[in-house]
Amino acid sequence: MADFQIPEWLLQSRGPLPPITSSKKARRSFAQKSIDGFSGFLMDDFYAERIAAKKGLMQGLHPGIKVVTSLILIFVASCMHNWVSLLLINVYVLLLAYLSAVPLRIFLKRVWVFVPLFTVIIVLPTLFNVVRPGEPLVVLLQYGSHHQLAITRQGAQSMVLFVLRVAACVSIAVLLTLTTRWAYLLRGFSMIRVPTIFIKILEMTYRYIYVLLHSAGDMFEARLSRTVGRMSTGEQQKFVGNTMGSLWTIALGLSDEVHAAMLSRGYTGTPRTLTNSRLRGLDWVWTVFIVLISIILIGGDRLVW
Amino acid sequence: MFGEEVVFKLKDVGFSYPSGEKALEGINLSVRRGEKVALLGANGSGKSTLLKLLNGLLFTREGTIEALGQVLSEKIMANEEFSFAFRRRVGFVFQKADAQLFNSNVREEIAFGPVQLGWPAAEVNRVVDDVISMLNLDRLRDRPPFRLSGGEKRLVALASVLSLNPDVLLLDEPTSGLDPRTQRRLIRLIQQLNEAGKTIIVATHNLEILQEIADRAIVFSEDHHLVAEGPCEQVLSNIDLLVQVNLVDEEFHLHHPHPHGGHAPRPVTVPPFNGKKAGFFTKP
Repeated sequence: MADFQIPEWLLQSRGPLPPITSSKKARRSFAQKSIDGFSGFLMDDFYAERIAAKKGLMQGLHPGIKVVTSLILIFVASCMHNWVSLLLINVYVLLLAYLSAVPLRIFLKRVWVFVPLFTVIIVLPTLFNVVRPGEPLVVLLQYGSHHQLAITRQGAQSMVLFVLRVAACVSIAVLLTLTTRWAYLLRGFSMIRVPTIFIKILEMTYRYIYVLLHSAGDMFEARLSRTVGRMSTGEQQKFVGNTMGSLWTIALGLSDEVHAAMLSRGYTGTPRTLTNSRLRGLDWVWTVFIVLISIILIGGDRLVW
Repeated sequence: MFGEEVVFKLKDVGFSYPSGEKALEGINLSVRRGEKVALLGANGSGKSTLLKLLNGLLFTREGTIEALGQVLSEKIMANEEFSFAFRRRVGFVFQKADAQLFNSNVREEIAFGPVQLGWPAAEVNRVVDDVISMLNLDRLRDRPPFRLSGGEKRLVALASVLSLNPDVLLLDEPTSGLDPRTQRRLIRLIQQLNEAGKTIIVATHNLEILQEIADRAIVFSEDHHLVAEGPCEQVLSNIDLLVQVNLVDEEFHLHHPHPHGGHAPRPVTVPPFNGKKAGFFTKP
């Protein structure tokens, strides 16, 4: 084989590293931030898988039963009119999380970072009398003899109810996803008659998100490895655009290959899966228990509290 | 044979991923300027992780890694001046060429490094043309990466690193999935770059080409320890070691005569490693 004609400049050594004369920190590049983001996502998922693999109350239940009973509870929570009932549901879910060996810090973080962020912002305007008239609770601003800006009793009540209701629903959903492996959770959906094709698509999406996430991570690492100078914002945007394009191409190529692999193993367009595991006594006891709890909560909410 | 200058010096280096998964444990190793070193090990033994550590893409809290006379740390790599100077000297060709090709065509890909260095356009063009002509990539010049074959992608990925003229080349499984002719070309290029004084560190589990791409082999076990190092010929002749680290199976025979006469397969007995280096060619 003929030798390569190596250009003269490629034969030159760069010599030792020059002494560092400036303490200027490299800006934490978007590449580094993105890599951290990807690994953060993988870590979150890893923790969730680890919790789902623990031995606990919720982990021992059939995924289908968990999906059904969680939906019942979410329905009950959205029917509640009284803050006491909603508080009870919140406390009850917290207790379930504890009995399911879910670290309460992670659980509360997942619930209470989301709830105030979105819910409070959504209902904030209804607190004030200018949006929703009512009996003033705290007067914030008096202007003129008849005009004032105040927080109303009705506004505060409905805000508390709304936040507690959303927190209860989010808690139930978070508990379900933390204590059930994603693959089992999807199978659980089949119990509520979600068409198999949707479940299959979700399963494959979840599987290939990882492939693409790893590809994206590799791309950003390769980019970081060749970061030898500053880049303008425009050039950085171009890189992100190129990465998106490349990932799209990879995804497209993958989808063709995956489909071919499915066809070669006898896929005919109708997804078939192994039958779900059988329900055990505990699953039935749990279902009856949740139905009873729901009746008590609805009864208490309407008649007692 | 080699310069005395130590390019990389690792002392008791260990690394675990955030998930707790161990990738490397107790690694002591040094690489001198101008050496051609192969990191050998089965899948998952930690070779790629080690390359990323050497390139300052990952950092460890266990042990120290000295590169070009400077201890690598997150802090030092955050220094703009050092980081840029370091990356100009240490080039990394990734295992997945697709990950490395993020520009819209081959030309831009090769120009990426020099453009960042702020070189004048004429200089960038000269470097790009030189690399393209050296690797005979003329017909691919304006092609987007997704329209390249596996071998072409690998060559373009290497070209994109060579345009920065690094002193040290880290190559992760450079020959995997290549056809024989492309593989042969790549091996010859690695040899020539090494002859020109570049330090080459290759992660591989391809024993067929080991003696061509490296003078020294460093062997990793599946439990992430460095278990042996020495001249490639000696490593290849220690079939027990290769079986132990899962680089060959019991049925394996090399395509050259076995030092003990005849050809394998032959039964082997394998002593436990206990994370220690294997005996006779261990460095004093």
